[in-house]
Amino acid sequence: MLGKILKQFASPSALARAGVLSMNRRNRDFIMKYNLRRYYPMVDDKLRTKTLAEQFGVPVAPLIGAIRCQYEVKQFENMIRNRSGGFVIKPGHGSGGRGILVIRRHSGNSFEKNDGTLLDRVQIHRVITDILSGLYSLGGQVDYALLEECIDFSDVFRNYSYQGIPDVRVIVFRGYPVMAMIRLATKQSDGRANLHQGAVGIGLSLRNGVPRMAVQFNQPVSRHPDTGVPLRDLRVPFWKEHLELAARCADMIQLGYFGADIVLDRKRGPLLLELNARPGLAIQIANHAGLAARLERIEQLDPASHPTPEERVAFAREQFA
Amino acid sequence: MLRVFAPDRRIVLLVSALVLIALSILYFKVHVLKFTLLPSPETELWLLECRVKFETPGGPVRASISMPEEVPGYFLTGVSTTPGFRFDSEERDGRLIANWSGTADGGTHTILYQMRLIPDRHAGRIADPIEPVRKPVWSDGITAAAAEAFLKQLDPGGRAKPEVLIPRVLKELHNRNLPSVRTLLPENRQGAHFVRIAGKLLAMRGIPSRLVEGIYLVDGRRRQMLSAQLEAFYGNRIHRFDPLTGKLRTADGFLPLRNGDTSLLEIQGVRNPKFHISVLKTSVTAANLNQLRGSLVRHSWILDLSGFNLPLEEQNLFKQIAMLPLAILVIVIIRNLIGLQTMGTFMPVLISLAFLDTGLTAGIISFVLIISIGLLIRSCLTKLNLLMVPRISAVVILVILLMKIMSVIAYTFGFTHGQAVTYFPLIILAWTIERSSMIWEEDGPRVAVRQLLVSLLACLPCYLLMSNATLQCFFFSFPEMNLIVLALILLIGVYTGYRLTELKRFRPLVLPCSEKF
Ligand SMILES: Nc1ncnc2c1ncn2[C@@H]1O[C@H](COP(=O)(O)OP(=O)(O)O)[C@@H](O)[C@H]1O
Ligand SMILES: [Mg+2]
Repeated sequence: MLGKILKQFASPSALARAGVLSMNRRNRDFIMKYNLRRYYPMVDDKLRTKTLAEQFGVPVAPLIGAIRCQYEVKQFENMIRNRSGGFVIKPGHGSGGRGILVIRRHSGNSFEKNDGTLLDRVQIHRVITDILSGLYSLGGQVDYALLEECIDFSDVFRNYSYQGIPDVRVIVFRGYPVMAMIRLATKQSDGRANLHQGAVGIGLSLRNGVPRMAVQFNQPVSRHPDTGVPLRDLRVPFWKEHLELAARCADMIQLGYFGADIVLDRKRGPLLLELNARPGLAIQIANHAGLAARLERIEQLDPASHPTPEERVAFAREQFA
Repeated sequence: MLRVFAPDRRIVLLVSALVLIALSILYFKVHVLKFTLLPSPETELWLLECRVKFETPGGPVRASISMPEEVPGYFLTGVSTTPGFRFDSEERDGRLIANWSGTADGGTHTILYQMRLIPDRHAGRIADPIEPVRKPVWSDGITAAAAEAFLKQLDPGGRAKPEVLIPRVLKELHNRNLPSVRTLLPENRQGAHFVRIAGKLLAMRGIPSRLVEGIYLVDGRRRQMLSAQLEAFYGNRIHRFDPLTGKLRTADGFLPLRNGDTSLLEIQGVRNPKFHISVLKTSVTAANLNQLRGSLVRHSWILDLSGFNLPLEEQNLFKQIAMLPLAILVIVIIRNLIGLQTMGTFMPVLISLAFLDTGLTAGIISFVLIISIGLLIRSCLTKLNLLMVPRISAVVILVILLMKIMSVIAYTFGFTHGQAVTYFPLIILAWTIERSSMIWEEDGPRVAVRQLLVSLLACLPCYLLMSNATLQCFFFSFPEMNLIVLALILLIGVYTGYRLTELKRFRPLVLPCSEKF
């Protein structure tokens, strides 16, 4: 009985040998050490990230506008009146996909969500009002609503995702990409790309972006649970560009350790979706590899050894195949 | 290599300093102030109630009662419970002097002075030395001759040892058939006078002795008069004898209050003063006893910091929160060493605090009831699409109404624990309902229920620790132990090893993987 229970646990020393990064160590040795608190707003505030990215030439989904006060709510129609494509409304300080409204198409008073349901103007006003009241922001502080163009996600992922768009998560440490995965939304995750909600995570080889293994709820899977396509065949085009985009983010924000979420737009190529100062640890399971060893390898490097993002990406692809 | 603690000199220094400070204060309290370390929940405490009754025609009155600061086995503290007089107390020559003064109306008055005996093995061990023998002076030649004759009859050779001679003297001095006794004690008086005469006789044989007066510690003995005893010095020790029986006495509960000429009561401006001492046994918790010990030592900053000088009411308040750090430590362990997520960091602590008032079963039942009914109603609110602040406010009000209804229903059905619900922190309940309903919507009922269960489970160790009487006493008497709790929390704060749940979560990473593409 006891043996059976114990068998479900790994020994700490085995985990350490495998180079697995623990939550406590991530927080203390990496996030606290390399991410100064005062730089957090750069990533926690989506508008600031976006403006910074535009300054540094990092491609992002184009901004439509921001709504900050209740009396501006009705103006959202003016903002989107002359746009034919879809748009997205999201809380400026949101996280975990909460409060995000993706409108695929719209005409007049009819707005089509990406799952096909139709909303009217009043319902959209209410979503914005909710965002402004701080419903989706940390600690409930007042927030603003951000409007951006809908990303027209690339056909290459057509059958790999249920509703939401797949995004590539790259962990960047001191400017070097150290690990990557792609997250696929499922029915169970409600179209969201968060692993703990049931999205599929596929570890990607840093060298060429080829899948290493796939997990859902920490269990290995070989096919997409909703569409049934074999996951091993997935290929991420513009792999080098993905990594270089992530590495370039390190130059624009002063964080030493972060996760970059990148989506592939049909026309614009890889776009930065958002940055995360506290990226999760499940990426280790999707890659069947520990982060600690890779982070220690980077920590030993002379900071001046690879000054450009391209050099750092080349080094990482070489080191962390 | 398994690097579990980040070697940080500041932390090591800080933690050692905290532990060192805590242990020093503990050592000071246990070895110098004689605090009980591991308390049995109840200890006995003796109370002496001194009562001075007097009459006055009206006018200024002054009274003072002098008591020893320590007696064998006890330290003494006193409080006046007499309204209408100015009261102050001082320490002088090893005695506590309590002074009353004021102007009294004509009539009968009573001064009450309550003394507590705080047990201490070391108290009063060094007794005042007995003065060497002075040649006794008798009032006249006849008495001197009678004394000579008395001693000669008892001890013709003059070589009897003190331990033999003293009982014999005390006993024969009661024998009124002897003419010498009738001369020495013409009025057959007992008590102090008797002991003084016996002392004079012993002095003639070179045995130093003195009169002590005190009372007996017998529970419920009201209105005790002072009892006189004889103390003699021989064999390098002081021995006490009961003049009535002549027997050597040890450990009979006799409490010496004065010897020689010190007077217990001095009073001016009154008629007919009567002085009684009543003895009373009460029991106190060890924590209260430690508290009394604390009040004994005036002007000690360590005790000032420990809060023993605060008014009793405030001290009781601290008793409630004295254990909180321990519960917080539990939460830190659950989150950072075990790795379980609770709903709201300190919510389990606050809920278990409520359990302390409600009792565990009643508490859990009402908690589960409120949360589930609250969730049900909250799910109806979702459909109304309310803004956040009004919606949470609505939940708070609903929780209030729920509490009311539940206690009413419980009361009607005869459950005395009906009002248990009112102890719960309202806002915490409302937030718990709000958060769990959000999690319910976003991550599904399974996640929400699991987080609620984990939170409730986390309450259990918090509750068990905080409701433990022994721990309560301990932490109340030794609040410096919280420094050790703090040190532990700091240590966990630099723990970078794996959490228990991570050992399970990351187990696939140490197994060979066949599912690799
Ligand atoms: N511009 C967009 N176009 C289409 N979908 C989007 C867009 N922005 C966000 N999304 C969808 O919302 C999800 C979460 O967006 P993100 O910006 O990462 O917010 P969060 O910080 O809440 O995770 C994405 O995974 C994606 O499915
Ligand atoms: Mg995201």
